[in-house]
Amino acid sequence: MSTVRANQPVVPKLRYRLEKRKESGVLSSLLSILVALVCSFGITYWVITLIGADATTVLWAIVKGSFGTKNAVIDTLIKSTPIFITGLATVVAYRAKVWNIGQEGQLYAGALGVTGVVLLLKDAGLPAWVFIPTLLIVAVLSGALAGAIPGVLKSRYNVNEIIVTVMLNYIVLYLTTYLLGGPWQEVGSHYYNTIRFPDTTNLPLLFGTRLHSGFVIALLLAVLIYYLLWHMKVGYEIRATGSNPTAARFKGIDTRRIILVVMLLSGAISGLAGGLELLGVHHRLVYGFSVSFGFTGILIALLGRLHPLGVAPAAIFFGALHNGSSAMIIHSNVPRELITAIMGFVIIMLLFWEVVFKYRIRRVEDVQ
Amino acid sequence: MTDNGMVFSSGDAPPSDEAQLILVVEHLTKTFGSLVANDQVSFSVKQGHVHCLLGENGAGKSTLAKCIYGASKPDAGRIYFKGQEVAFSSPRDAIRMGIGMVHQHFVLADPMNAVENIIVGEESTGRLLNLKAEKKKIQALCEQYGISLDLDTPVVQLSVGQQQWVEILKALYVGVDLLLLDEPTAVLTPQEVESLFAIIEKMIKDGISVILITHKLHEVMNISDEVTILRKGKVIDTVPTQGNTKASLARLLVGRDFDFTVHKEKVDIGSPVLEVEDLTARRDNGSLALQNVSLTVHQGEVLGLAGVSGNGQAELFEILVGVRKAEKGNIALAGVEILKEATHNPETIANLGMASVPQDRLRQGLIEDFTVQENLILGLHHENSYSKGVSMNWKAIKAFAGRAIQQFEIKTAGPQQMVGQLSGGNLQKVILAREVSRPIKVMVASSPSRGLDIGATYYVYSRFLELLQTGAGILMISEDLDEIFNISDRIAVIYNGRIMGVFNASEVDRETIGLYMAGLEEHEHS
Repeated sequence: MSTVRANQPVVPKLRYRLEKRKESGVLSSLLSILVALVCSFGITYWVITLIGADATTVLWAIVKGSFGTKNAVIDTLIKSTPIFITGLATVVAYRAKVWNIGQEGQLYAGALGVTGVVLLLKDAGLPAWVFIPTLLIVAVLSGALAGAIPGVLKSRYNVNEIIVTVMLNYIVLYLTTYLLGGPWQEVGSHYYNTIRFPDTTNLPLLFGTRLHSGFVIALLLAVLIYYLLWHMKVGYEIRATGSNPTAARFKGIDTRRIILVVMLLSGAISGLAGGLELLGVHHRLVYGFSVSFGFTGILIALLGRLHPLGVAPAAIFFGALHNGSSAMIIHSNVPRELITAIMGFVIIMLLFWEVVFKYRIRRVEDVQ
Repeated sequence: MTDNGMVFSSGDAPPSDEAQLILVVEHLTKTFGSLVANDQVSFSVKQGHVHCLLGENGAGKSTLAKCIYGASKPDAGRIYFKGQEVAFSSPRDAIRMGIGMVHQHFVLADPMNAVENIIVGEESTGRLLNLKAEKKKIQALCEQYGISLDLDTPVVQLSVGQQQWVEILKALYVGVDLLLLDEPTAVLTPQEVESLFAIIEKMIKDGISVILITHKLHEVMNISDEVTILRKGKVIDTVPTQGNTKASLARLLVGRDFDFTVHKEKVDIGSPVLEVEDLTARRDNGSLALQNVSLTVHQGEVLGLAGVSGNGQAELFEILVGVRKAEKGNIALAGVEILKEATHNPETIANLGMASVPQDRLRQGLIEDFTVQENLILGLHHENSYSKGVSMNWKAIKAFAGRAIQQFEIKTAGPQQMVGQLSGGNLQKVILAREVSRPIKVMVASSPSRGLDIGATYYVYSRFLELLQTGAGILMISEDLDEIFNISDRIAVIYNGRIMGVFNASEVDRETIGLYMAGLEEHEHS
């Protein structure tokens, strides 16, 4: 039956087909990010022109403001540090498909823990090399504690972690507001802030600039988490739990324990972000010190494709946009909100091109 | 149907004047990377015929079906349906044109009932759902085709056989002219297979054409009019069923003479390795799954546990591997009590010498987006051979994976290939390689040949028989009586959570077992 048409003339005909790639390589992944960035650049350009400003000037101001000078670069790195770390916190949780939305609250919890201990020990005269590590441990533990609540509820009683973490964000935030408006408020201050922390709590600065060592800690943490997920047994179990909890359970992985471990880790990392931000930048707890660092971390983790080494550039990019916005409003009358819009464009474009790049066009010769 | 259906019109015009041919596939090629799944495949299906696609595992049957159904896009080639060239961009288009498909792995929404599953995605229901009216329509279909099904039960509580009715009803409800059935009998009891074939015959009478994908020769002989044999992605031949025999088809299928008997060397039956005593357990919904079940598996024997699925086998399997709690009873694994708090977890049980092959490979046995090597050590990752302290020892794991791939003839691009890209038989080999990579005392296997072709099936059996030589015992849970009778020494039948009887395989026939499976007979077992 297959030979029925054998006698007919063979007319090759070219066709194009869209087909899904079986596996997408690193190169196509990078290319999709590049295309997305170019597209969002184009959209941004158009929007600025629409506002009536000179797009070239505005964009140049952002670039110069974020990378133009040594100080600008330093500021960009400082701004990217907390979101880098909350991004890493997100990666750990989401790899196990535990949807932690509570990075913001856990970050605040870390900051609260640090502040509490500083206020308690400020007159103890501890040297920096004792004080700073102690405070960082406190930040990690406080964050872990905030992560433990949804972690225990999820692993023991299967309570939806999204709801618990979102609600906890509010609880921790209002607790902070209460403390800053009452018991912890600096005497005589009209603002919601504590006293300035003693100098022995200041994180060491790098290269004689304002850049604090938190950035280096973030880099080390990224490598550590990469190692954890792909080279440690617990990381293997985390990924197994995320990909197929049933098979993981059948083969002896305690998925409930993994859920708890992951929430503790994610909370601890977010808490560390809060502590580092206080000790490296603000040197006091002040209302609104976090510009949605927790939520931005989620976006960064998704943009970094849930890979610790993808989170690094994503965080620096967002840090640059944040930093560049200050220069932008000085040099033009474009509102600061444009930066948020740009972030939106970038995310939409990245997600869009990620999907597009999962396909490829193939020219096929249709033998007939 | 006359044979002149094979005469094509000349020129480029589609064979539209061939009213007898409902489907013509010409030179269809489909590749996945370097793998050629379908290589210039041509065949045609006559109106009102049952056309079998017969082929080994990985011969490209399912891929071909998916191309016809629009779930996959061919790289090259043409498909004519009802005389018209078609290029479906999705199954939706195919369904609209009148092509339905029942997949090997069912695609049903578990918590919803049959009616909801059948009507989902149908525009004919309009904006508002009239479930009552739809249910009536479906009931009428059930009567027309002699299907007895509780339409209000969530499909997750239906047996696999019943879930298949739901899939078939779904196609009938939409109104198909051509129905593709991918390995439909893999999970059915003999009685269920008979009713399936009765349904197919009714469909044929109603003018529906059927493509049956299978590797079971007796089914081809039983029901089909024509059969197309595929091997390694190529069409070997299309032949009428009449005038052929199982042996002649088998030769076309595997490319050589094939021996269907399992060579079972005499192994001495030793002491008990698995003793289940008075086991009672409940399902998640609180109903009794197992009632006072007692079973004994000895060294060197295969105990087949026959039963229609949904009669407690899944729960028994889960208790044995340690992921479900029992209400009462004892289980001893080589003399060690495993239902105790300290021992009743998957890791401890596995360490005591229990290997397991679950029924649903991709759900319970493997992690689809993990690599072959990552899957090969799932559950073994704590062992010193594959780890260094808290870290994984990827070098050792890769070496182990390389050996396993060679030893078990796993067809894969390498240890780093995603397991989800492997075929069913190779998935099973990955599981087997993992489970027997260390000395075991008991193997619990659930439908180990489900969806596998002859070659892979006999491969699994031969591996099982090797295990017996090492002094292990095997408990094989299955609803496929071919499987049960192929290698069992003794056969126990489970119905409604109770053991209805235990028999010596040599002293009992299939019909008797079928009656016990249906709960019609029971006797005191030893």
